[in-house]
Amino acid sequence: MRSATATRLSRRLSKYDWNAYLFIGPALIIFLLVTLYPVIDSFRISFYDWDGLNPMEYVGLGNYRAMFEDEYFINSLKITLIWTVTTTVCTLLLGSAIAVLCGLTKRNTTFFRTVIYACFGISAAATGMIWLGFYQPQFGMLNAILRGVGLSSLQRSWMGVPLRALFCIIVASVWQSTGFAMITMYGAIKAIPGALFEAGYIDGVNSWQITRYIMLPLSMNAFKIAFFITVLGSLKAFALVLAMTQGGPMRGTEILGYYMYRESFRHFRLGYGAAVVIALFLSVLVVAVPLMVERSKKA
Amino acid sequence: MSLRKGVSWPIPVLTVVTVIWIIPVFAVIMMSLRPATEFMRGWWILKPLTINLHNYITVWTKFQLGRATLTSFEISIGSTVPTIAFCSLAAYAFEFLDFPGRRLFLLLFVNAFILPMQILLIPLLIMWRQFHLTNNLLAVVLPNVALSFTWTIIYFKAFLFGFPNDLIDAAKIDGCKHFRIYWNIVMPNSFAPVASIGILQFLFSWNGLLFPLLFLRKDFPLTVALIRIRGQYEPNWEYLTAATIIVIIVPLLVYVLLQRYFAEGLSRSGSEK
Repeated sequence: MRSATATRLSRRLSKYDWNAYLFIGPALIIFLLVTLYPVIDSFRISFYDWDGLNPMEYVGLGNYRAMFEDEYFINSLKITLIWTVTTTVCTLLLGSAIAVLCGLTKRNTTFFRTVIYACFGISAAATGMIWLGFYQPQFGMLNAILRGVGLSSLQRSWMGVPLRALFCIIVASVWQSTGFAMITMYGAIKAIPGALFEAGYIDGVNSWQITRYIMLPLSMNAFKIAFFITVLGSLKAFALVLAMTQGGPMRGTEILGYYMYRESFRHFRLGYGAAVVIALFLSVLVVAVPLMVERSKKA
Repeated sequence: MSLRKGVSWPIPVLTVVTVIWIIPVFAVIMMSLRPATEFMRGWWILKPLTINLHNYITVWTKFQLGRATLTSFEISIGSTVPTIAFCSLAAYAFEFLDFPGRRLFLLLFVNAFILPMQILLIPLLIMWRQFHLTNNLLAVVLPNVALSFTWTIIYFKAFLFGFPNDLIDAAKIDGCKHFRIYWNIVMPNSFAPVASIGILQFLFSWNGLLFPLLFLRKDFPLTVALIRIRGQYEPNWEYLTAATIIVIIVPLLVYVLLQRYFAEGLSRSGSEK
């Protein structure tokens, strides 16, 4: 890809074309001003103590030290880990399973795919409300279902206890993002040449073998894309927590993306918030390195 | 024609899964159409069954959702049009022209996907205060546009890689300048990427919550209105369910009706080319 572009460039133009700056100008100016500069500024602010009103006070690494002494930050790290791993694993498993099921049958599956994919278009704010309704203790469906199947003893105030509330939000998140994993995997499965399936069926293999030896190996690339987008999306998440629990109960659902928001804009610890967001950024960076390398090579 | 055999047992499984997927939304629709006195015992209890738009009308007027809807449209369209214009221009330069810094700028855009939105909040808040842009829709539109470049430029550039060389060469022989080529040849033949980038950017902006929540004071979009209706204490479920449906109706229609224009684009924008 890279060399192809290079040949094309050298064939077309032997010299630099300065007009190019007019073409990338608008995008570059907006990007430098509203993205790159703020990122650098966030690093700077993280070395200061600042409440947004009084003058900033330089504290060096003070905010970072305070971060690791704050039990709520450590708590937030743990919650973020549980949240990210569980959301990613469930989303990818479910999404891939549905894609494979759609690929195995010859019948039309458009309806199923459209419904599940459409949920990916629902905003996090609305997803939160939809699932709050589901968990609502008095008239929510979850408790009603438990009553209905004779498990009344399992009825709970679902959003009332930290870890339980976290898993309730995870379910909502998986419900919303499975459609993306599914459509990505389904696209790859549909692109597999039909001859491979035919060869498989002539050899008399069953659905599981088709899945295991044809579909999954040949959609690994799509799986990787879905994996990275899901894992990065959950690391950066914020809105679902705001909509459903606002970090509660007992700060038990404060993922990093929300913890930063709360410390900065509810407790007005802007310098500290900047330090937290740098920590979040670095954890995203660590996960994203393989994808960055690949995208840079292709660019 | 195809010899490919398929099994049919996935159909019932998929049906069950899909029903599970629909039910939470269906529940909200049912609740939004009925008075609280009825659904407080469970929305599935159908006696008595009063269906009306009372909740919608109340929440629409009480929380000025007409204005919020307008703001949502303004933010989404305002974030989409410049994105299409600027990403296509930049993609043209990155694909067809060579210039000092080409590789560096491209890598900058390509790798910006790692940035969490939260990293922009504090500096942008300071910046908007200095420029007197708090409560100006630009405060939301500009970062929406800026953050889109990491996938839109790459996506458009990948499309241009497959653009027929003959068309561009012919224009060159005719002595066309690059902007003429871009405007008269490339753009009229770029319906596919323009549609998928446009629809996706519109949806992302419509669903955005963090930027409008922090940068707007008076005019806020539907997502922020929904969070406000939820409030701090016990929510009012008549309002909440009706408002939820109002927020999701546009994205749902887009997803169901226009899916073919962007479904593929969404997966490919992840890392393709």
